[in-house]
Amino acid sequence: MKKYVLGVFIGFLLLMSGCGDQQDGVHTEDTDSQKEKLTIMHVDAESPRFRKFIENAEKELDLEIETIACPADADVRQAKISTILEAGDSSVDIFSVNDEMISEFKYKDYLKPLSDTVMTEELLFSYPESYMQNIPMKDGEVYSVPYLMDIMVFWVNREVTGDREIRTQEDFVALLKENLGNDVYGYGGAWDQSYAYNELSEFVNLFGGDYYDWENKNTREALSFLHDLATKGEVPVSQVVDRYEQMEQKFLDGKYGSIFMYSGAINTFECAGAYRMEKIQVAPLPGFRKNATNIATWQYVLNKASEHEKAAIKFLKYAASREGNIAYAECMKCLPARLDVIREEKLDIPGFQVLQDYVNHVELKERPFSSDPMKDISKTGILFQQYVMNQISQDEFCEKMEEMQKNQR
Amino acid sequence: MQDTNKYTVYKALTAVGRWLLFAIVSFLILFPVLWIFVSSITPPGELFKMPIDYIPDHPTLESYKFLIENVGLFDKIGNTVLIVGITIVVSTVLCAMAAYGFSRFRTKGISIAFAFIVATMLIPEVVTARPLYEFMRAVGLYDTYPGLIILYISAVVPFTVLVLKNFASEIPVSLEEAAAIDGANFIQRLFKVILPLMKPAIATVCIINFITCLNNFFTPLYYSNDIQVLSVAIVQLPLRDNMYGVPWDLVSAMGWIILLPIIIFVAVFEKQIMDGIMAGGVKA
Repeated sequence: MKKYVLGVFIGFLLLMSGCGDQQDGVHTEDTDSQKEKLTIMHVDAESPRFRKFIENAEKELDLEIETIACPADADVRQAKISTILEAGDSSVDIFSVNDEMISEFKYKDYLKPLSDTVMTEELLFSYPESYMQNIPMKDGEVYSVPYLMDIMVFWVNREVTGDREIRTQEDFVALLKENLGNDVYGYGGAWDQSYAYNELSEFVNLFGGDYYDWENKNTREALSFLHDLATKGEVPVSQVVDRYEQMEQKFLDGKYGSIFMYSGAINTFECAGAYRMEKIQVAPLPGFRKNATNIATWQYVLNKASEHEKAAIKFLKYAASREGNIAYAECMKCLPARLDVIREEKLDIPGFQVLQDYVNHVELKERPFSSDPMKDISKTGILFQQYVMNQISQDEFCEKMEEMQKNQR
Repeated sequence: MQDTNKYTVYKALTAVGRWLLFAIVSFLILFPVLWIFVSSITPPGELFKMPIDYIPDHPTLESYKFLIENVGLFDKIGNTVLIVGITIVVSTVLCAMAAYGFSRFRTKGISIAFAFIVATMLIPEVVTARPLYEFMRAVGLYDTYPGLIILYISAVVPFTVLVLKNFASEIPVSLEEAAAIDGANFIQRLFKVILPLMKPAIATVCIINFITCLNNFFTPLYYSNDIQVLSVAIVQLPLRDNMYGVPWDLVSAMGWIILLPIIIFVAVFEKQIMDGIMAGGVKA
């Protein structure tokens, strides 16, 4: 029996030491191959399309790139990446982050500024100016390299709207008022507390308001418009619990005639076989008071603790370059972040032409974020829900929003 | 005669009531599991259809195929089996011996040690996360199999020791004394008398620890990057179509893959789990 117990322990120790050797093995291989190594934590790391992009980048840059998946859930992702960055952990060199995350991280001492190395002044002109100033920049320094852009576009379901053109606010209002059938609405949204923020800022844009000025006449008008949608029954009240998945499904099922949704949804509708002339398509933005819409990007940031800075900069330069933008967009079938690339190239991605029109004719605006975006998005969503459900007045809503924004500053 | 009829009606009503209750409870428990399966075989474009399709119009195994071909499912299963397997073997051996010690030897120090071990169950993982993260990196155990195994073991030790100690305390000392009179030494008494009697409790903690380890999300999420287990893989699935939607079909398929071994395990070892829970005096 003694031998048996001893055997179990020795077996365990051998197994442990064997597992530990794995890293040593990798290290030896690294030295042998003489290639610079780089580790990227990316939200699409498990995607075969992204892997193809990385393989191309490895060949192009003569790098050995390891990709690590990061959680898709926003809160878990934020917690995981914050922990690594805050601890000064150098095991990951580059992270993919969204607007919400960069808005928080740039105020912390986690990231390496990229103004001198990658995002030169000349390159900055390739991106939406106001976006760059308000999202990746702080005190004149750029902290990220946007690689993917999503534009909040106007989608119509032709099976519901027919051939009608929705070009103006009046057209839009007429669609809302029309009886399209039982449980079918001219417009639908996603007003879940984490998503209402997008809709609110989009309508503030359309009415020419200012998200940071709640006394502004146009901002107030946007609020009244959204409030009336709910109280007059022009949108279903049930959408206060809908996220994008539910909204997209209702749109696909012909429950909504139109929605505002990011351009990335094109892939969802295409997969469902619905992205075609006679069903779902992207329409030009209806002309309200201002021709402006939200954009969102995903970006690369460089870990301050990175031990492979040279290789990371090499990769980031590629990601920011015209070739890198095109390669990523075509591999992932999404819109690149550089405006000049969108304007001047003919990319092989679904709906490219119509998205190009948006870039050429619509003012692209960043969503306003505080330094604690996740918390504030949720707070805004709750206040908005209370307002459209008549639990608080417009004055109360505006007062609370102002108070919240004052605390952020 | 009337009394007999009344009794028969009463018996029938009781049986109907019992079965009704059974059916309701079963439905409440099984419906989410069924729904996860249905979602896993529904194409993404039909997932949120209203009215709900309880049987999908176009059932497909695409999600499972995607997981196998693109997400390295078998690697993740391998990692999970390795880590969970070693954790269960090591923790059971260590805890069975510790439980025996705690139940047979009583000194102030041993009582304090036992209280400390059990008290660690009360500390939320998130409280120790950051210092432990630093520690794991400092000693080179971050993102390694040994590191994860040690953390998994430490997570199951308090519960295992508690259950096994309670069980071992119930075994009469006279059995050991009888064995001693027959000439058995300490090791023989432990391995040939006590441990065989502890089998039901050991089986129970193995099964419960297996489920606990399989469900452990926090440890692999925070203390590893490269080494992925199933519980973390479920939140790291690629945002396949657009960046603003969760790939629910893939999440459901992965969820079902995680659930399946647990369902099989519990179905196979149901008797041992119940025996162990009752014999160990653990209120489930």
